[in-house]
Amino acid sequence: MSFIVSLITMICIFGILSVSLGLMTGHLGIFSMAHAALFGLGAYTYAFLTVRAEANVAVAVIAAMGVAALGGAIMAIPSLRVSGDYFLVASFALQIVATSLFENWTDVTGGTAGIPGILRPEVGPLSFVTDIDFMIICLIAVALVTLLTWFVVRSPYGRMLHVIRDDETVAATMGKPIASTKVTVVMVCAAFAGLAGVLYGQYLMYISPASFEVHVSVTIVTMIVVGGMNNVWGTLVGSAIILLIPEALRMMQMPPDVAGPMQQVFFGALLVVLMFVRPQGLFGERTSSMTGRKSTNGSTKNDVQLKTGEPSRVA
Amino acid sequence: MLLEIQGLNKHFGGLHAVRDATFDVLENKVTGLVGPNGAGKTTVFNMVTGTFPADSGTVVFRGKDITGISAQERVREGIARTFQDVRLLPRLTVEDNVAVGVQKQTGESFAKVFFAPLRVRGKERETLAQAREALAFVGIDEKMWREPASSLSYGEQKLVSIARLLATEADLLLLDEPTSGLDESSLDQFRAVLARLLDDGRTVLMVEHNMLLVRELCDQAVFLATGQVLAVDTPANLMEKEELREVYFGA
Repeated sequence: MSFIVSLITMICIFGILSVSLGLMTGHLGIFSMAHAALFGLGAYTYAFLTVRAEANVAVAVIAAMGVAALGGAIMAIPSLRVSGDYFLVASFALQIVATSLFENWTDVTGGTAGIPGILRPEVGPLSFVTDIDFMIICLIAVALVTLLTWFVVRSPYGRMLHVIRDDETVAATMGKPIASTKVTVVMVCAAFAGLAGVLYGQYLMYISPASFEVHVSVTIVTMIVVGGMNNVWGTLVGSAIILLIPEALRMMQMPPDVAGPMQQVFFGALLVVLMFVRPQGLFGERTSSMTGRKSTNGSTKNDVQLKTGEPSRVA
Repeated sequence: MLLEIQGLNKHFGGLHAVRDATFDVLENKVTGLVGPNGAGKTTVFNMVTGTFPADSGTVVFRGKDITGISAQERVREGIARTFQDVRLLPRLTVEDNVAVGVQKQTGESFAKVFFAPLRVRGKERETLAQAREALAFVGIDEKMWREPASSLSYGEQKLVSIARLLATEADLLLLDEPTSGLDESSLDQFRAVLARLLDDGRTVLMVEHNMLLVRELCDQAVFLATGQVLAVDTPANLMEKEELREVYFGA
């Protein structure tokens, strides 16, 4: 039972990470390898403020999301100049910088030893100390993040993101503000990643740089690629699949020295097969945002008369 | 005079792509931009729409100097363009491709998506109505409106890209080779759309290679070669000029 609770909690935390990376990558086209760095910024800020500075939990959560958002703003700067593979390399560099910061700024981060003794939140009479209570918090958090993201993607804002993703020149000639949109969205995604970091620290009650290294970024990228980065639900399912695979392999009762390498082989094979069979991931993109809703009577929902026959001022 | 281009210059490295280009675009008329490949026609377009800045010279639109403002602001001033390679967004629906052109959408503010959802929804209804009106204007069948843009034929895609301009409510429409690659029936559709644009009070500046079409469609033509404006005249007069025919046809 506790095993399942722990699994669900981790799926929720990584679900927040994959959904937020999905918003950036699948809908705005910013392919980042630094999501674990933002995840870590949130976790370290929260841990430092609550453990070392003994700050109020609510203040610490907001500060953690804020610091992660600032990290996101820094990350957004190269995205204004370069895109695609070039941004990928730039984000990789930022990830390395962050890891090095977590490992070496010992006064704040505790170095490679990390920060132990992080407490789970107790807000007034409500306490979320047991694993099951904490799992419920994580479920609520991932549900909120997913719904917010879904709402953004389906709104006219989402349509604007898709235009910027698909063709920046067209976006500019159609009057869309490219730079401010990128900064806003990356900062929001970073704040979500920071929230995931807070939950992660609270759940394990201990953080260390190993949890926020580049291979974690790669894992999050794998989640959105497998699930389908253009689909909000796909990114969520992707995180579940990637976290369930090792558990499924464990069920097969292989000797431990085989299980580790087998997991790598399995991930590799899964990615290669998926690239061939379903390059868009398990869940594809909806072709449209808000307008995708089919009306019940088959025609348009608007009562505006279309003046097809006569020339008219389109306004 | 809707648009005045004065002494526009553009260098790409050692290439002087546009030199001292000066011409006017008359309101509610069709002005053709003609000349051999590499003459600088698209470069002029890019400087008028602000895709990249001019090295020197000014662009005056409705009496206002717009040389220094961004591409985004120029759309709001009333200048919009199509692209030689059409550039619809294939993954979006036809309708969304046109809705993208609508300016000042409430739902394009991140905060308002959350804090003013009803206003966003109301504006979106207007946006879609505007997009559909533009699609009807260029004659795209209603059945296609919710299909992905990639499912349209090339001719239809070109018409949708014009609808996208209409949605911006711009007065000056820059069409980059609107007739290239069109078959006879799509061309007829384009002729009809162009006539209706003029009825609607719009002004068109278009790049066109086919001199017969220039003569048929344009009120005025600007002849560009190696970045220089060689002549501005009616198409019929331009075609009379021996030296221009030599430049263009090499004969």
